Amino acid sequence: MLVLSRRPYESFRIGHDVVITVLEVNGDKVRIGIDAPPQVQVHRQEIYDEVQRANADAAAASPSATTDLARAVRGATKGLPASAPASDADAASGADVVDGPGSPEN
Amino acid sequence: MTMVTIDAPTSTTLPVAHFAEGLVGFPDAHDYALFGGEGGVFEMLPTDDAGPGFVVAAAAVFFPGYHPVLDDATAQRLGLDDAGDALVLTIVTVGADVSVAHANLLAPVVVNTRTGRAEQVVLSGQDFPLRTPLGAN
Repeated sequence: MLVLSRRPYESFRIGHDVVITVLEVNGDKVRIGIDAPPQVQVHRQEIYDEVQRANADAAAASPSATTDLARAVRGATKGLPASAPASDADAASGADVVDGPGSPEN
Repeated sequence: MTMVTIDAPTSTTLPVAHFAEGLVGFPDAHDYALFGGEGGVFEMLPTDDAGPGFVVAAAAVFFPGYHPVLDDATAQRLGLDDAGDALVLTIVTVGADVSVAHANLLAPVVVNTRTGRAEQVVLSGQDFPLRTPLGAN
């Protein structure tokens, strides 16, 4: 692993078009700004890992699962609507700021 | 862009879904065909043997109150100008007993039904669950 030391508002660049900037260091929390082209996806590592595990579990389903599932859901009650409100949080505009897990946005 | 609820199409009306980046953890398979669709449940199988298949459920059928927001970069990658072109599919994990099935609302598959461009979108900051019962009980 390449290790670099940076102070707040110092940046480094990955390739030609990804710029990572340290915005703030506060105790055990670091705020990072990421400027990347739209085709580059940025994920929090732990969320990405969770999704990867869920996909691996889903992929393990037997080939006949769809048929069985379709039969099971036919006439069954619909799923509960998701209650979480949709928001424009994290909508990309300029530098995207990624906070640590569970930390409130300022 | 807020996803709207559209009627779930059947597989005959859908193009092959092309995932430029593959699915999370399965980067090698890029093209998936959707089969079935009755009752909102599809089998999503790679057109080659580059990865596993998945069971997916149309969000519009199973989760009508689910309206994830795509950020501009994602909408741009998918070439989505009109939310009505987006088919939102949730990847389903089927347990040993098919009555125990969970859908992933945190990272749905979004397909541009006009072009076939598709992506598994990891939704950040919207508090959607990774595992929600599909209600197939």
